[in-house]
Amino acid sequence: MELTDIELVAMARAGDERRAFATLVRRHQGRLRAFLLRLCGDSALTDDIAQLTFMKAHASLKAFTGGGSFRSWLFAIAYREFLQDARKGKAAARLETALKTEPQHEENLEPGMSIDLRRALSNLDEMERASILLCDAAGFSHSEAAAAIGAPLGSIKTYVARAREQMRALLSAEAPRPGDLSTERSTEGTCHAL
Amino acid sequence: MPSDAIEDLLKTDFDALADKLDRDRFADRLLFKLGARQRARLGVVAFAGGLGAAFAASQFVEVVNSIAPSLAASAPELGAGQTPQFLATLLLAGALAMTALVVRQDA
Repeated sequence: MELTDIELVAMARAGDERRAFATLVRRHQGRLRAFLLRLCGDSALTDDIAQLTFMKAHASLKAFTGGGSFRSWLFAIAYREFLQDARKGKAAARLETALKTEPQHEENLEPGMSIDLRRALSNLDEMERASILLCDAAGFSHSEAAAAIGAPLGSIKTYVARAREQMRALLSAEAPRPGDLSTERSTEGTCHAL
Repeated sequence: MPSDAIEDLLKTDFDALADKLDRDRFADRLLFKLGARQRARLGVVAFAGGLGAAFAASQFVEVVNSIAPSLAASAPELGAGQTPQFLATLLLAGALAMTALVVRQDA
């Protein structure tokens, strides 16, 4: 039977750190890097931030209290690292460069749609982009996304609704209809049926 | 375009990307780097152990000369010629046991 994240953290604390943490890395690295890649648009920066995230998580694993989910704690570290990098101004420049270059991980998707999707995402501000990625793409609940981003729950719901509205307008090339916000779907729990 | 379609689009894109990233060598590289710190620690321990052993070896003759007479007196079944070998075996066993303890904690 597959161990839960909390059980693996407990194992790591009990002394079997190497094996337990390796399992946690293998379980979460793909989705964490997908989140970062869609957030910053640069695969080298993504890997740098993901590496730093896991190293910090490894160093402070004993500080994880288990109050929330492990993945939201992990994504919170990654998001803080991303913001630190963004404050240095590197992320903005890299995102601009990445948008001008060919996509590096897009071959599984319809190319045109994927580029549209990237463009639509890049038009959102950081909080909206992070919120919609966590809730609609990664399957986080609003509470988990709030913990990961470090924003109030109500703000996350607003960011997700606003991001959906903007993306809908951009992807369908129609003017946004103010009364058509999908806030009725933004209830506590998951952002969409999981 | 309905919100459902945007969610589906994002989810499909994200799942495909995460699946692709799951299959590269990032995790292996990261875990190797994380292990490097422990390997460095083991190296430091081994170096310190070696240094200590070298120092102990340089003092061994004096230590044996000072302890051997009393050991020979308390354990007469040991021949006078065997006492230094007995002490050396004892010291070696102690050093091995301590090294094993440190290595076991790091494993």
